[in-house]
Amino acid sequence: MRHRTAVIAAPLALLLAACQGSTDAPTQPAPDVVAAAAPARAFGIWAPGTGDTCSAEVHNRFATLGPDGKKYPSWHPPTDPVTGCTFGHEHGRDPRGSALYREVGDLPFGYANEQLDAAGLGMQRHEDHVGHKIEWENDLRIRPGGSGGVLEVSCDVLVKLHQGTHSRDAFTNNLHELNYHIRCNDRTEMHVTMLSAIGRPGEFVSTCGGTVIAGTGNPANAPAGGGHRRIPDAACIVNRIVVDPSRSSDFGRLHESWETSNEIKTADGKRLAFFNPYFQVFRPSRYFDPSVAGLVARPVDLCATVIGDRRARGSECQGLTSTVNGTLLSVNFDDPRSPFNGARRQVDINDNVITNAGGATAWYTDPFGRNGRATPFPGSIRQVIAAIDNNYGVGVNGPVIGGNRTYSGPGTRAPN
Amino acid sequence: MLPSIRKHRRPRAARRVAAMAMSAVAMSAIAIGAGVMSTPLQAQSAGPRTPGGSQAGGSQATANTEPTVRRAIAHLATKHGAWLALGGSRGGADLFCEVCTQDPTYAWSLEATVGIRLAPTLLLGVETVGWFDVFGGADRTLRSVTAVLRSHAFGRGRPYLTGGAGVARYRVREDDAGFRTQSPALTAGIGHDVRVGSTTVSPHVSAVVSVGGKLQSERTDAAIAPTARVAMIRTGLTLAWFR
Repeated sequence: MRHRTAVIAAPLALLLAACQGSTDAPTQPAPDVVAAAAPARAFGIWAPGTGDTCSAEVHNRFATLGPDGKKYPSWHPPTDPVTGCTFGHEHGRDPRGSALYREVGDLPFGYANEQLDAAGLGMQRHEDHVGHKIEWENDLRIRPGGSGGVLEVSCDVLVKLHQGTHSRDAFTNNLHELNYHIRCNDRTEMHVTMLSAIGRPGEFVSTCGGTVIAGTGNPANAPAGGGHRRIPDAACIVNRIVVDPSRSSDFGRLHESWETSNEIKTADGKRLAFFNPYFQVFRPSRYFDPSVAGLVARPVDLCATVIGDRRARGSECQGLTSTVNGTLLSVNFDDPRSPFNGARRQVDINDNVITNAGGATAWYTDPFGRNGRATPFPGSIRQVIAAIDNNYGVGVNGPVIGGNRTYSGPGTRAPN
Repeated sequence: MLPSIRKHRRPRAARRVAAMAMSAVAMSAIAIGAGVMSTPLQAQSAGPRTPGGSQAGGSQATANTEPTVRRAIAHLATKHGAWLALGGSRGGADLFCEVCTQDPTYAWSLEATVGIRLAPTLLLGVETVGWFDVFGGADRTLRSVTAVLRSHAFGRGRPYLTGGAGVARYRVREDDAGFRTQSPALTAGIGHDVRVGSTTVSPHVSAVVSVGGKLQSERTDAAIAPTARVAMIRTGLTLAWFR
């Protein structure tokens, strides 16, 4: 059958072959220009913790300019390639391998947060450094629904979400910086930076289902968004991980899924673009526990939890416990030996709908992707959206990127 | 020269078929000229006619053209003869575009041709082909309607060549959604006539290639590819009747 296919396909392909063009426009700021720039709020906020061998100075060399001319932190490997020191955290996949990198350049971490300060919306939102996570894939194949295997769209995707899974932040805070870059051979193209409102502030969805009210969002007047943040909580996971001898621990319940739903809209409310990638973390270093101070409990501590004959059973806890004076103890949550460090992730690339036929390709929106106009305004962010209509009326259920990778390096540990 | 075909005296039923064929050829030629995708029989029944033969409600150009074309075709058919062919074939079809997987699939197709003889070795007809890959998880169909010329001028045997132009439409559907493309198309083929009683059996190899059109969502009409081309190669048998 395959041979017959080739016999038919070859002459047809010769008869009807087509070719594709591409564009690129790389510009990276010179290091001395970056060094001389004014720092954004996100710059310089990381400091080494116990076990981290890199200094803040080394860390701050990994910086870039934002569109506002300020310097922002950017991607770096877990280990400094010059000195060999370790940062203890990672930011995901090296963006320099992305086919979009030559156009997009280094991603300025915290630019959308910075713009919110200037937007005059009466709210601020700044995030920590370690939560910025990059993922990308070149030539990602997406099969549109209804196409019967006849169609397959090829996309280059480069995304970054601030997805902190080590602290209490996401229990209540639904605003997280999202950089979303995609270009496909069906002419779909978006370059978006925004604060993605993921679900509602003050609450999240338990990994076992149901809404958990966790407190007050920051900012308190944060807009609600579509999607949700699915986060483990004690009521869900403890009895599934600390189990009797007949069962295995269900560490899969720790799996966080932040399911975004994003729109770019004009000032008069017309939707220009919609995209809804899901960001997933398999071994976060936290879960919500209202019974502990600070609301944050640590999965690694469950490795040393014994309730009668019930305890954690599975390879995840191997080598993480020791008995001291008759008491079973686990390693600290921020020990590099713990697999609960948030370094195993994946992103589902779902719908990428553009309804901008005949429109401008450059729009200026507020940090939430709203109020899009043709000209900049205080706090606005430039978004690039192809002037096409690609609403095919069919859904795309996520090709996955990053699921087969882990970004741990030497010394990588929570908080990460 | 096809002497054996010309010597054969057709039965009365065949004469009626030929008369219908002449009318269908005339109407289909008009429909194709107007860029409309329709089968010959659909075209034949389009709109009431005035006693004078013009089409009520049609454009002035159509009203003026139709009787002229019909008269010309009727004259040629009376002078030289008509033909009708029905057949089936097995073929591979594929869609070519920026987002197409370009993995051909194979299925059965049906075809019908009606026409007239322009000259002893040259026939003109209208051919419609339907290719249906509908037994898997998704439905893929290709339909074409083309005006074809069939030449027996190559050698004194009964081999023939065909070529033509018309419209092809490719459609894929799955789970109540789908995509389609329609564009001008070219056809070409080679075959050989074998007389079997009053019928002619013609094994042939034929191809349809579209020149390219938008590939659109059936739900929203949004184009997923600005240019998509269709190609189909098939081999099969037709049964033909000549008068």
